[in-house]
Amino acid sequence: MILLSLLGKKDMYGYQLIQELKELSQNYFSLKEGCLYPILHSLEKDELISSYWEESESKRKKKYYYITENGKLLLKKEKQEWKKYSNCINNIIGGVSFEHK
Amino acid sequence: MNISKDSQEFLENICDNIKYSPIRESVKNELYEHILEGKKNYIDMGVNNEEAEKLALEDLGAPNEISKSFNKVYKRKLDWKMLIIFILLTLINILLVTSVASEVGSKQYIYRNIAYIIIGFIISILLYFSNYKKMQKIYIGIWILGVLINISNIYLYNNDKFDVLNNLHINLNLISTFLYIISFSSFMNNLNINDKKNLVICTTFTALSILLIYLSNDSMLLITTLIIYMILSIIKISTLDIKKYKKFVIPIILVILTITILNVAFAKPHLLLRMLNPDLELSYMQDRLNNSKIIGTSDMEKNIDTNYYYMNFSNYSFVYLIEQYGKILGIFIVIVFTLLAIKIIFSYKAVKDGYGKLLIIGLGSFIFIQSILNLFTILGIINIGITNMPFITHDSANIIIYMISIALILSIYGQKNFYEADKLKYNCKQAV
Repeated sequence: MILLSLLGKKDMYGYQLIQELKELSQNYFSLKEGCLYPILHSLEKDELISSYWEESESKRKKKYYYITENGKLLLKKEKQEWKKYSNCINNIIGGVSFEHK
Repeated sequence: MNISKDSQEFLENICDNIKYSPIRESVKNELYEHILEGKKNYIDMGVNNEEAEKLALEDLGAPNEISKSFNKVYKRKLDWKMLIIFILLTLINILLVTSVASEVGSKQYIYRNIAYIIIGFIISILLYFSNYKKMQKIYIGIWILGVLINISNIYLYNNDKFDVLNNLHINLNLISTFLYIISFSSFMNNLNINDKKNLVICTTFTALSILLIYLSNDSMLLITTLIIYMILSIIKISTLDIKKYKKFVIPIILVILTITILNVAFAKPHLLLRMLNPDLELSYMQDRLNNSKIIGTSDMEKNIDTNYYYMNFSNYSFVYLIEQYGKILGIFIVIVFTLLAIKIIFSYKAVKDGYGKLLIIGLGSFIFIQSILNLFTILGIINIGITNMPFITHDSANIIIYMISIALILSIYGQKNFYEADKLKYNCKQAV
């Protein structure tokens, strides 16, 4: 869901995704960077994302990933699920913390 | 900016351990870019060149872990149901061979038949683990090979060299038909309706292959090929963006096919006569079929003629098996072929690659149509010649062709998620 949601904003290449992830999560999510690529390939295999090669300013080609229609649908569904889940947890935690008070 | 020898070794290490070779180069380029970006980032932070690259490599993690993760993603998906059908059909073949062997009693016969099955298995395994998309690069070569085999068959047949043909223990026409189907699938996959040159080449090659099969006097294989060509063209046309003509093209293909089949029948009047007067051989076989038991060996005695047909040809092997083991085995064989047809349709739907789809339907119909034609002939529904029932053949290397056809279908299904390879055409040829 995290990768899909990052790619939902704009097309990105691997390293860019890692940096974005670190920045937005304030370094909370740190994965071995090499593991990202098999995950991206797996998402691509499931047709949730797709990719293209494009020449960058440095005249080198980079592989950009983008979210597909299937990916967008799944992301929407996952976001709703997450909202329900987090609301639920918040209610529980909130309740617990209230009692402690 | 370049990368050090250590980084190059790191990349080589990952790529060498990725089992699915078509993605190696792409992954290498992607990770190469990643190292450069990481290195640049560390340099910007004030780290020296050497240290920056070392840190970038560390961030990536252990090379064997990365290749392992890739291997998990690109794992072949074994189609168990199709594999079971494949094994069942091979087992029926072994049953047929051992049964005939006990009557023939020749050691040479047994060794020869065991050799066919072993060779079939070895080629099937090799094909299963190969990348079927490579056939697309050599399809003209495959077509030429088919033509050469076809021409040699016509030459041997027309010069009455039947001994040579019999001693080969394989139907040369069957090999060329198999090769034509593979090349025709590639022709269809590469078909470009806007490119006149492409259209002319495709039509000429197709027409030539039909002419050559027509000349080789095998009406059953000709009909099989024509039906397969028609199915593949319709599949291809339905994917093309020619809405204006789509309505007309498919009926036109159907009309051309019907005219061709009728033409074959009229050009060879004996085919029509056979339809009207079932020949003795066939009615004799139907008689034997009717007198077989539900389970167990038939009580009907076999004369010299019956043994001659059963021992020397595979055309009536289906009747032979029913006579030996009962109608129940016949029903079982029909069920297995029906399941095969259903599985082919499911595999066709599951595979996303257009070339794979065409090959699955081409090779699947190659087996299914022949089994239907053999079955219908034996049951007396049609009578325009006779062909082998795939897998239900003995003392002939035809089994190898049938085995590798299913192995190819299994291989295509196994690679159904590997469409990364297609994108590599667009891949950068960057020197790493």
